[in-house]
Formats: sequence, C-alpha cells, structure tokens
Amino acid sequence: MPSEPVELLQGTLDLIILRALSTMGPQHAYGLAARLAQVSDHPLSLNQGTLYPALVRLEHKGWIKGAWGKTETNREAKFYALTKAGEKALQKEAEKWRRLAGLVDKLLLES
Amino acid sequence: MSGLRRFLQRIVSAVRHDRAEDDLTREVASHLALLEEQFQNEGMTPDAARLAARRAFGGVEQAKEHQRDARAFRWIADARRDVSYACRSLTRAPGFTAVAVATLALGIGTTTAIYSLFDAVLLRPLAVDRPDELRVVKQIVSVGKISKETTYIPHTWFVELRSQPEVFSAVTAFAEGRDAIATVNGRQGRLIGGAVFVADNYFDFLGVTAAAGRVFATDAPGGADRPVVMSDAMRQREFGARDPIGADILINGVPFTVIGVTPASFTGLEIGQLPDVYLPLDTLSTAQPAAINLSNRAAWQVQVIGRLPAGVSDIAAGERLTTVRDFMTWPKLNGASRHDLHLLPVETGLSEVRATFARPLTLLLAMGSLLLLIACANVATLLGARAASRRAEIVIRTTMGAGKSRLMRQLLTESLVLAGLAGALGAIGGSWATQLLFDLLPQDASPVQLDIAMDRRALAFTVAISLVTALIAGVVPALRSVGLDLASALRDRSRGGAGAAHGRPFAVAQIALATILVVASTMFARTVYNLTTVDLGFDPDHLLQVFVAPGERQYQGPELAKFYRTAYERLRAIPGVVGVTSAQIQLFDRGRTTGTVDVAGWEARAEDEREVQVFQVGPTYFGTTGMHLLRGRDFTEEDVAGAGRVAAINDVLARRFFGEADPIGQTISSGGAYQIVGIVRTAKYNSIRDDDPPALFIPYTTVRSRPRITYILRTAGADENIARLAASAARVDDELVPIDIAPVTSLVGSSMGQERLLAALSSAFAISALLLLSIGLYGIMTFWVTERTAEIGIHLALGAGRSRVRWVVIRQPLWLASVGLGIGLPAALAGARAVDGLLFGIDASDPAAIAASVLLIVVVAVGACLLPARRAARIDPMTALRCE
Repeated sequence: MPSEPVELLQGTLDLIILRALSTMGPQHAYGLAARLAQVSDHPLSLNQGTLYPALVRLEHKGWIKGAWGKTETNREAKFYALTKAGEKALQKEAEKWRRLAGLVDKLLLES
Repeated sequence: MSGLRRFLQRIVSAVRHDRAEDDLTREVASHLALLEEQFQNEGMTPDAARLAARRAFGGVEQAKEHQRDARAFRWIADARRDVSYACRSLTRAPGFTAVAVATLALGIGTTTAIYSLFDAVLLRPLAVDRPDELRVVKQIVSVGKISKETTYIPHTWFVELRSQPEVFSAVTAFAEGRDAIATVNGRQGRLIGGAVFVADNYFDFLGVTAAAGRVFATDAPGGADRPVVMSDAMRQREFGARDPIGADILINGVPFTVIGVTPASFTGLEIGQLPDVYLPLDTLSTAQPAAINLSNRAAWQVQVIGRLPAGVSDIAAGERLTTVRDFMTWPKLNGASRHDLHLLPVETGLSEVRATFARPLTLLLAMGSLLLLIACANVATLLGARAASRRAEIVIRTTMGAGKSRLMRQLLTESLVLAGLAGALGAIGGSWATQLLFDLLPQDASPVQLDIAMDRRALAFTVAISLVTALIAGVVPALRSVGLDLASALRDRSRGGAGAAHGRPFAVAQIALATILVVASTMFARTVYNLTTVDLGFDPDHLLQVFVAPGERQYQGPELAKFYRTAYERLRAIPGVVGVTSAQIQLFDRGRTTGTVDVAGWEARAEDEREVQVFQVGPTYFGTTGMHLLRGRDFTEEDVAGAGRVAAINDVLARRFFGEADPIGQTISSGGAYQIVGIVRTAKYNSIRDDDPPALFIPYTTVRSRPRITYILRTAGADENIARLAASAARVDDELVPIDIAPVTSLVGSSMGQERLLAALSSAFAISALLLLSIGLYGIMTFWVTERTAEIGIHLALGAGRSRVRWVVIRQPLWLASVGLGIGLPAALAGARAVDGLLFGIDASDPAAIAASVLLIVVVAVGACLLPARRAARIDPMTALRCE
C-alpha cells in the first residue's frame, strides 16, 4: 500500500539525482525517473518533466555531464554522468543533508 | 569561479539558443519514446501507451519552459524577443526602415571616411622618439613688404647650433634631394619618395635603428666610400627577397653602396612623404643636380631640427636662438629690412602634405559632418512621424496592461536595431570610402604615401551620434503618448497635427544645413569651370612631354650632344609629330628656376624686383608650344648651338624693365649678357593659378655634368599611339628608358586636382543633402495630409477649391524653406569667406551662385511636396468623413 505522496523539499531532487547517478552510473532522464519511482515505491509522484530544470542546473554547476548515446533497446537518449566535481559535491551535500535530517529528527522526537 | 562559469554558460546558452533548443526537443522526444516503450511492454496498446507516456511526463511545453528558465537569463531571452519584435515591426515598414538605415549609414560612412583621412594626414604623430619635443627652425626674411619664409638655413648655422646646447639639447640637419633618379640593377627610374641627405647623427637623433645592416652613426661615419640607407618600401620594390646590403646603386648618376635598411615603421619626418634613400649630407654637393657647396655661408642648404631641452619653453628657446643668430651673419641679409627666426613644431612646420591638404581636408570634414547632421535630422523627422502614427497602437497596448518600462524597452530596442544596422552598413561603406577618398587625393609631382585605414574611434563616434539621435527621436515622442487615455488618443488621431509639427524643426535644420552644402558645391563647381576656361597662353592639346636623363648614363661632352641630336631626329621622324622642341624643365612641372636680371639704366626699388623665372629652351620653343610671339623671332638651331647669346622675354618682364621702350635688340644680363630677340605673351608656366610672373627665356645650351632634357612634341592627334612610338624613339641607348612621357593636358588637369576633388565631393554631398531633404519633407507632408484627411474633407465639402487645398500644402515647405534659408545662407557665406583661398575667379559672396542655390533649395522643397499636395487635392469628402 503506497503511502501518501511526499512533497519534495527544495534542493533534495538534486541530491537524489546525484546519488542515483553515483550508484547506477550514467543514466538518461527516463532511467532516472524510473529509478526514483522504484526506490520510493511511488511516493514521489512527480511529473517526469520536472527533472529537466534540475538536470540543467546540475550541468551548469559542472556536477554532471550529458552526452548522447544509445539505450539497450537501441534508442538514442542523453546520458548524464557524474563528474569529479559532482562526486565531491555529493559527499558534501549528503553530509549536510544527514546533519539537517538528524537535527529535524531530534526536534521531532523531543516533543 | 564556478559562479562565473555558470554565468558564462547561461549567457552562451542564451546566445546559442537554437542549439540548446534542438537538444532539448530531442531529449524530451527520446524520454517520451522510452516511456511509451515501457507502457507497451506492460501490455498497453500503442495509442494508450502514448497517452500514458504524456501523462507520466507531465506538460511537455511547461517542462521545456522551466528548463529554459533554468538554462538562461530571462532578460537575455526577453531581449531576444524584443529584438525579433523590433525586426518584425521594422520589416512591416520596409520603406521607412530602408530610408532610415541608408540615411544614417550614409552619414556614418562619409564622416568616418573623411575623419580617417583627416587623422592620417593632419593628426597622427610622427613615428620617432618623442615627436612633440622636435622643433624646426624657420626663417622669415622681409624685403620691403615682401617676405620669404623658408625652413632652409645655411649649413654653417647647423654646425654652430650643434656646438651650443642651450638652444637645443640635440640637433640634426637634412636636405631634400630634388627630382632624384636612381639606377638599381641597371634599371633607371624616378625615386617615388625622393632622396634625403642627412647629417651623420640623423638616425641617432630620431631613435631609429636599422631593420637590416646598419644606419649612419655619429662615431662610425660611412664605412663605405659613399654609403646609402634604403627605405623598407624601396627594398621591397627593388630587391624583393634578395639582400640589398652591399649592393651598388646610382643616385643621380653617382655610385653609392647600400649599408642598411630602415624599419617599415619609420616614415621620415614629413607626413605623407616616404623617402626612398638616405644619403650622407656631405655627398650633397656631388649627388645633387644643382650642386651646392655646404661651406657657402650665403646659401640656404639644409633644414635643421632640434629637441627642446627639458623644461625650456618655445619662447625661451626662440630667444636663445636669436642670440646665437649674431653669429649667423649673411651678406645678402644686409638688404633685408627684417630677419626673424622661429621655432615650429615639426608636425606642422615641415610637412608640405599637411600644409597642402590642411584646408581642403578640414573643409571636407566640415561638409561631411554637415551631411551626418542632416542625416540625423532626417531620421529624427522620420522617427517622429512614425512614433506619432503609432500613438494609437501604444495607447491600446498600455490600456491592455503593457508596462511603461516594457514599452520603452521595445521602442529603445527598435531604435537600437535601426542604428545598429546603419552602423554595420556605415562601417562597410566607410572602409571602402576611406580607400576611395585616398585614391582621389590629387597626386601630382610627389605622390602622398600614407598608411590609410578606417579609423575605429571615428566610426564609434559617428555610430554613437546616430544611436543617440535614433533613441531620442524614436522614444521621446512615443512616450508622450503613454500617459494619454485611450479615448482621447483615438479621438486625437483624426485631429492630429502633432506628428508633422514634431518634424518641422528638423526640416528647418535640414534646409539650413543643405543650404551650406549647396552654396559650397556651386562655388567649387564654378571654381573648376573657371580654372578649365583660363587662357593658358599656350596650346596644351596634342602636346606631349618626353623626359629623359642621359646624364645618369654618364653621357658627356660630344657624346651627349650626339645623343641629343639622335633623340631629336628620331622623335621628329615619328609619323604624326608635327613639331619638336626641348626644355630644361617641363611645362606644368612644379619645379621652377629663378634668377635675377640686370638691365642697364634700370634701378630696382627692392631686391626681389629683379627676380624672374628663367626657362632654358630649345629651338622653335614658342612655335611648338603655341606661346604667342608678340614681336621678334623664335629660337633657332643656331641659337641653341651657341652661335650668339640671345634671349626672349615675356611681356610682363618687358613692361617691368623696359617700360614703353622697345626691348628688341637691347641687352639683358643674368649670369651673362644676352641680346633680346623676341617678346612673347605671358603664359601659365607652372600652374593655372600662376600670376603672370616675369619670364626670361634663354637657349638650352649648357651641357652640364648630369643633364636632363624634356622633349616637347606637337602632334596631330592619336596621342597614345605617338606616346608609345616616342618611348622607343627616345631610347637611343637600350638601357636609357625615358623617365616619363605625359600629355601636357594631363599635367594641367592634375594641377587642379584639389579643386576637382572639392567640387566633386561637395557636389556629392549637396546632392545627398538635397535627396535626404526631399525624402524628409515628403515624409512630413504625406503624414500631415494623412493626419488631416478628415479636416481637408470637410473643407472640400464646404466648397473649398482643390487648388486652394494644394496651395495650403505647398505653402508649408515654402515657409520652412524661407526659415531654413534665413539661417543657412549667412552661415554659408561666412563659410565661403573662410575658404576664399580655395576659390578661383569667383567672389565668396557671388550673387549668381547664391541665387542658384536658393532657387535649387526652393525647387527641391516644393518638388518634394507636390505629390502630397496632389493627394490632398484629390481627397473625396465622403470617404474622408466616413473614416472618422
């Protein structure tokens, strides 16, 4: 039974994409969307088109790099890969996220 | 760092909009395809799968738009939209756009081209060390009321100045070699840039080092017996890739050895003159045709340039120079009533090209600027009318919620696009016109050699002017409409008048400016006409001059006499040649020979009264050239062979020295006594502007060490063919090529090159100005008629005659023209007085020229309004009222 949809916090989508690329290797936007749906058991009912601004943002920051390639079914698609700067950024962002999550957890448990 | 990169990437993606856009479309398509595939695999029909894919993706355009926002700055995208909107709105009015762009481009291109030339000739500093410190010594000798200015002084003064550091911290000297002829690799030719004789410290003084070999140095003079330093231009021309160092060349028949080449950047001390060879000053007495002894304290042989010591003013240095002058006594100066020495900046004091072209170029620049102003006024008129006609559009758009700043940005963009297009077009036309203008410069005896390129600052400046014009004229009147409410604006549209009124001051300005150009062009056209109709005193048609320099080939004595004889006979034998004579200098050559004469029983009131022009000429000189013999006889072969010492004089000389007495048979002395055998009417010997100088003609018998001769051929038509035959006929010796062969008419023509240039360009400017003026007036009046269609309709309906309506329209340009002329004419007359010296045979306030200009302006102004007037008269009252 899927739980209620979660609204994405600003900035979390970037982190999720970086993480997905880090574990799965180069992916196209469809693959990323499928991955997001899979890990979350569909709680993030985001329109797949919403990924695009995030991808452009990450590309401009130099964290990921897009290149045209072929899928297993021999369709052309743009594959995004994590860059060196992206790996570093993922570590930093993940650390930040964990600290923030820990803080929020603590605050929620206190009451 | 990464912030900067992101910034740059966003700009790049904003500019490279299309590629990013294609990429995005492809990516989204592939994404949808993959989704579709998934849904089909899950068992959906293709149609259902497509729909499901769309649903899962969300709004395709929305996603794209979001991606775009993330990709680029909004303002750049907005700017793109504004530009494309501006382009669309400009293409909707192609006539307006074409005229406005062409008008501005014309103004920009013309002004830029003229300024580029102006800068290159008059403003650019010399390519030497600290050119601003350099001063040239100029002496002014006055005898009675007549004074002579020259930058030439005795060489002994230079030696003295060099030993006295209080005037100049350093000083050098040089002398221009006149009419230098060089023989390089056995080929003989006139040196285009000429030769300069320079002191040993010349290059050190200017801070110029050799590009190859070495230049003269103070401590190691010469080296070779007679060393020569060559310009880079000459090296390229004569030696190409070969090494010139050590080569032997002949200058005026004297052998020299090349020791070095100057760098290409060094262009000598005279703007526009690029010397070909630099020779040691001490060879002046051997290598110069009219040899001058440097130790002669009475002769002016060299020009002197010094550096002002640090902290010494021109005035202080000038005073010190005067104290040194006590040393500079000179016997001939005793007769002078005044003798002044001046220090002049080298840039302005030395260049003949600058002196020659300063006034015409300043004038051209002024006229070009007027044209630019007219262009701006014209575009302002057009933009104003356009803005007024768009008032309703603007009001509707504000009413519908368009922000004021947004509207303003669009209008600004439109003006920017307009000025930008004009700037691009003007830059292309301007660089072409710069070259054209340079080629048009009269190139007579010594061609002007300059590095000419379009001046970017001038281009930027003129584009900026047109930009400001376009912005102000395009935006301000439009913004006035912003505050209006819709109803009144729509109501006003039919009442109107504001648009045409806005254009009126600009129209008056255009008329005033055009008047100046039209007056200038009539005066210069008249000047050229007057010059071409001057009686030259001889017949220049079918007269061919062949200049040879046998002396450069070491012809001497009897051999030389034989050469002359052979050349003369061969030229005489050419079919179509009806007469041959010879002379030491060509007709309409810029060089002239002067001498002083004495006549027994005649007292000179002033020293310079004895000075006359001296011509050494061959047999039948007057008959061949067509100079009118008043009394006596022409020269014969016996005269030239030296049988008797005879002379001829012109009537000016006769009047001055003999008064009413008959000069025939009298004796005149000028370096020897001659018996006068003929009197000729005066002629224009050197230029059309010659003021009838007294002239003495003596037979050309002197066989000097390095003589040159010009054969003058009278032909019976087919000049080109004869010129070719003459070239081979004069080539008595295989290696002796005639230096040049030219019809006298072409020399006469090029002697008024400057006037022709001014006439041609001022006419072109005036025609452009009138064209612009008529376009502007036509625009204003058409708009005026359109605005008042209803009003005119009512008048017509109430019984006003059509001719009356026509008159109401035509009356307006007449009124504008009278105001414009009232402002323009006084300015034009003041301008004409300022350039009086460039006019010939026409007064600066010539009534005919002014009347013609006024008539022309009025005709053009009225002519431009005939069509709108006709349209107004043909308005159908019913249609006009229904428009309301």
